[in-house]
Amino acid sequence: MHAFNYHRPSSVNDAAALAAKQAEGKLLAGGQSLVQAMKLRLASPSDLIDLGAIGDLKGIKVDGGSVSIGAMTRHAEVAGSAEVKKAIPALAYLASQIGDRQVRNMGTLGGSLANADPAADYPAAVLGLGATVVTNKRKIAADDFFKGLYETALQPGEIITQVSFPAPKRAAYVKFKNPASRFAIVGVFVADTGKGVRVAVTGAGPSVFRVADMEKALGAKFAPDAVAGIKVKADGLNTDLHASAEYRAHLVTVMAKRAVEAALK
Amino acid sequence: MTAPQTQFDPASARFGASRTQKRIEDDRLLTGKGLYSDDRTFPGQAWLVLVRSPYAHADIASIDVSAAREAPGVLAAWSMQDLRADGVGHIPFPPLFKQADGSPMEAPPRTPLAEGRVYYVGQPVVAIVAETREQAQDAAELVMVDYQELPCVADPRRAVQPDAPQLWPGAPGNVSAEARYGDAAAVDAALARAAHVTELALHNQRLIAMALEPRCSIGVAEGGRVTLYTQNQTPTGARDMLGAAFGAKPESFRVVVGDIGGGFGMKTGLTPEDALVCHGARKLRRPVKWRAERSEEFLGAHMGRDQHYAAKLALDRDGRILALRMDMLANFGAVPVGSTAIIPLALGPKVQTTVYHVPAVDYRIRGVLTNTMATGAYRGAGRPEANFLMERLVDKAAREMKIDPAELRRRNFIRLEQLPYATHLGDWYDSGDFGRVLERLLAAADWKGFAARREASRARGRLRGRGLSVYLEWTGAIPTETVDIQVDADGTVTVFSGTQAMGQGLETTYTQLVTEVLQIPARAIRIVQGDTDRANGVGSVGSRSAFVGGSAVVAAGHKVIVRGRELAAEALEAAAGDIEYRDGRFRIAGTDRALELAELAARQSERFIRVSATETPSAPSWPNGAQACEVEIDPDTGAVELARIASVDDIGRIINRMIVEGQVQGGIAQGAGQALMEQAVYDPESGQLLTGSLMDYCVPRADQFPPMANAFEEGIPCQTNLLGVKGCGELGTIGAAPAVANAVLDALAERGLLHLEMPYTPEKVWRALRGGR
Ligand SMILES: Cc1cc2nc3c(=O)[nH]c(=O)nc-3n(C[C@H](O)[C@H](O)[C@H](O)COP(=O)(O)OP(=O)(O)OC[C@H]3O[C@@H](n4cnc5c(N)ncnc54)[C@H](O)[C@@H]3O)c2cc1C
Repeated sequence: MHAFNYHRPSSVNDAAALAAKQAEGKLLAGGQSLVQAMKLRLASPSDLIDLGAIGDLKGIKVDGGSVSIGAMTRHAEVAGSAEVKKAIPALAYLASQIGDRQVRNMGTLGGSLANADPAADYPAAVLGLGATVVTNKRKIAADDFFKGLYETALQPGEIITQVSFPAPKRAAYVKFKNPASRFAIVGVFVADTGKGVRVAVTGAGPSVFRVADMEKALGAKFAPDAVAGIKVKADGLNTDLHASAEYRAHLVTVMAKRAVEAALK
Repeated sequence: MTAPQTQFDPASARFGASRTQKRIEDDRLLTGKGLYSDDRTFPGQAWLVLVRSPYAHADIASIDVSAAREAPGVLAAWSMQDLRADGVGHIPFPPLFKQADGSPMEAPPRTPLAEGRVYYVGQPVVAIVAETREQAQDAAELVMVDYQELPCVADPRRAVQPDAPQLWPGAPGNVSAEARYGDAAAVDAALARAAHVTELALHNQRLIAMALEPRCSIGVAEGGRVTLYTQNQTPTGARDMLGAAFGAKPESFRVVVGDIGGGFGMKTGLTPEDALVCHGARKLRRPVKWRAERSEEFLGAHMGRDQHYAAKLALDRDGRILALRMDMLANFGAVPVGSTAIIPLALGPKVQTTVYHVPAVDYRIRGVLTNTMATGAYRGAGRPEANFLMERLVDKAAREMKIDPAELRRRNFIRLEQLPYATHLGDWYDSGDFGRVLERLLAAADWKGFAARREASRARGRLRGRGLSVYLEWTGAIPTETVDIQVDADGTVTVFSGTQAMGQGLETTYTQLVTEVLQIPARAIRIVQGDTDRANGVGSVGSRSAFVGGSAVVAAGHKVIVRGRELAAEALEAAAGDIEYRDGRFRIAGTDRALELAELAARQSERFIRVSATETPSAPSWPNGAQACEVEIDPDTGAVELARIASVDDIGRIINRMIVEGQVQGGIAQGAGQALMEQAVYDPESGQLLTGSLMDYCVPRADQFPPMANAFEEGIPCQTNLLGVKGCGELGTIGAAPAVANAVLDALAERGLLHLEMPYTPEKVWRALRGGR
């Protein structure tokens, strides 16, 4: 790890001001991705701006038909929250499937989204539920947030403050884990929102994506066999030691089917 | 599952009464009170960091460390040229093997830093020593090495082709050493008359040891010598090799080892990092410490397995084995370590026919140089590979010949009346009842109940398969250990042994042996290991600690009594023959005149009694066993789940049941890991390690295992050592890989598949289910 300056602002504004001043600085949330990259010397920020002391970024609020979760809320808090379990059980379940206990106790929602790892779980829920990502500057619809491999709509220094998830009629997340890292090889989030069905896939491609054919089929009939015959194209999907693009494409169908089954339970 | 445990009661701890005793060392190890090498910090300590080769094969045109030397905090920056100037040489491998033409084994020498050329990714090239680790890391980034890349080869099958890149002039065709065993003509004849020949080509893939504790070494100049604080299963061997590398007397070094967080054979011998910190201590007169990052451990520690086989098994009409032919390419890597050659060339062949009577054999084994990290000792070391080949051959033969796999095995076991049994390699199996072990296993695993379980799985949309393995190990590598026991005036009884605990509970095991022999409470007993000033020996490799080291402990205990009797006779003015020993007291028989051990020690002018015993079991031992595994496969994803695991092992006499169960269970996890998920993969084009982190190298975890049923056959004590023990550290691993493999292939058999290479990853199984597409 290279040397860096450490800051611990107590408000979003202070954090934003620091971020604006330090072009080579980075926001620090749970550190589960960033600190590792620093240890490997793949990232060498001049400054770390720790968001951990900002009360406004923490906590879970259920309000009418939506669940708002502060950016600094740890995965374990979401997984364990009685309110989230009640309003969107699929979201609490998803959080419970991230990494291991230690990672869940440190990693945060905001960090996961800003990082936009192609195999991360949260992006599937954000896109699958049609959530809104709230930053210190604006509100970004899920469909506009994820731009590509480790790429989001966030501008330099822009801070995610919270994410607002509309509660669906029914939803489920099913993840086929990478046996080594336990990130998603393919994770599928299916949500029957009441206004339509959304199907979001993580792990399979460079960035989380929706499957329009499945959404249409499920909109007509919300049942596992509605998606059983729908295949996504392998072109452009990820290939690595653990899974080829072709296998991933196959798993999208299998996981989608299982997610629908789970949503119906 | 683990048998109910009794609390460790030091006062009543006796061999026999204490067979499920909790481990004495666990309080220390589980509550953060252990002393691992990274826990040690010395005043004035500097840090060493390595610049490692990013290329698999390249000439080093130049190395420029000038900027690094100028960097803040830097004390030194060395290339091999600098080390040579200070008289540092290479770490030798044992000259045990030959090439086909009779000339000695050849390979690039293991210099602590690369000299002129790099041979694999991760090879140390430059060493930086600085005040802090961060400063050394920063300086390492300033080192300029001009590499001229050369073509590389990572796969031994490619390496032996005529047009392959060549690694070492002394090893033409990249064959570093070759061994042949058996009688080719007899095997030709058997193949010609065989009713059936089962053929199999397989790869026993490369694995990474993945000890929980990454390596860490510290060199400290003390009292005119250099002490190496490290983690090492063979401290004496490490000391001797330091002598060799520095052209100095071994006694000018001391090796001190504390607790070890797992070794598995990887923490043996001497490493370049060890030599470098010692050089640092000599040259800079300051303690110098190096610690591996986890990612550095992937690149910098030797790996295991990686053997390619082509084999033929000849059988008669009834499925009786007539002959085995085996042609194997062992991937040595580029720069062999001490254990690289012996494993495929000698240890595997020793048990290649395992528990079967195979009338004729013909083995050809070539050790091949490739641009990869060296392979070396890793749990089982040659024996898992040999047993895996045999168990896959036998299982495939059973399927091809439509004979029940248990029955085919039964027909071929070495029978009781054939013992002692001479092997083709000139060893003798002393004991074993392979049929009995298998029958016990089949009962324990409810082998007969499988059909119903398969139906239940099918009803849930799962494929179920079952697999068997029967297996044999050889233990007792270099069968001599010396143990000293010292009885002090305060009653402390200290055992000094050159074997080395690395998590397997030797402290408890040895303590139990001493309580048994000397009939004294465990609290009086101290076990000292890991200090070449206090005890020397071969160390702990190849499941030999209890077998050889434990025998020496008991022999030394007996010597305490013999010597004590003489001293007591003098003190009590009686004839030695009249002195009896019981419960820590020497007494003139029939009187109440007696002396405690401690009192006797106090009467000596040195105020202690010390004895030394060297014990050499008369021959190696042959632990053996059988395992059964059932798996469930999700046909939609190809994911394999372990559903049932049972084992019956004949490890001779058992000293501590909980410890041996732990050894077997951990071993099974490692073997199942190989079958299902572990593989070290090098890119064939670039020679880069593709599985360089835990994100890609998949290690088994506890949540992937069903409860295991582990039983032991205790009625067949080993005949060749004082304890009747056979060794158990590697057996679980040896049995698990083939049992799991056979189970997966059983589940896939209905798709007409007869073999598939490990590991059975989801995609591989999914493709197999689709008929290979
Ligand atoms: C062993 C291991 C296993 C894991 N397994 C999984 C898994 O199965 N599934 C999964 O989804 N993830 C997994 N992760 C990743 C984990 O979820 C991380 O927590 C997450 O990727 C990053 O969150 P963080 O809070 O740790 O962010 P950090 O590492 O602190 O930051 C990550 C990036 O986000 C930026 N950032 C952080 N917060 C904000 C914010 N509020 N606004 C704008 N930018 C911000 C940082 O500047 C940085 O660039 C795993 C991690 C580890 C170490």
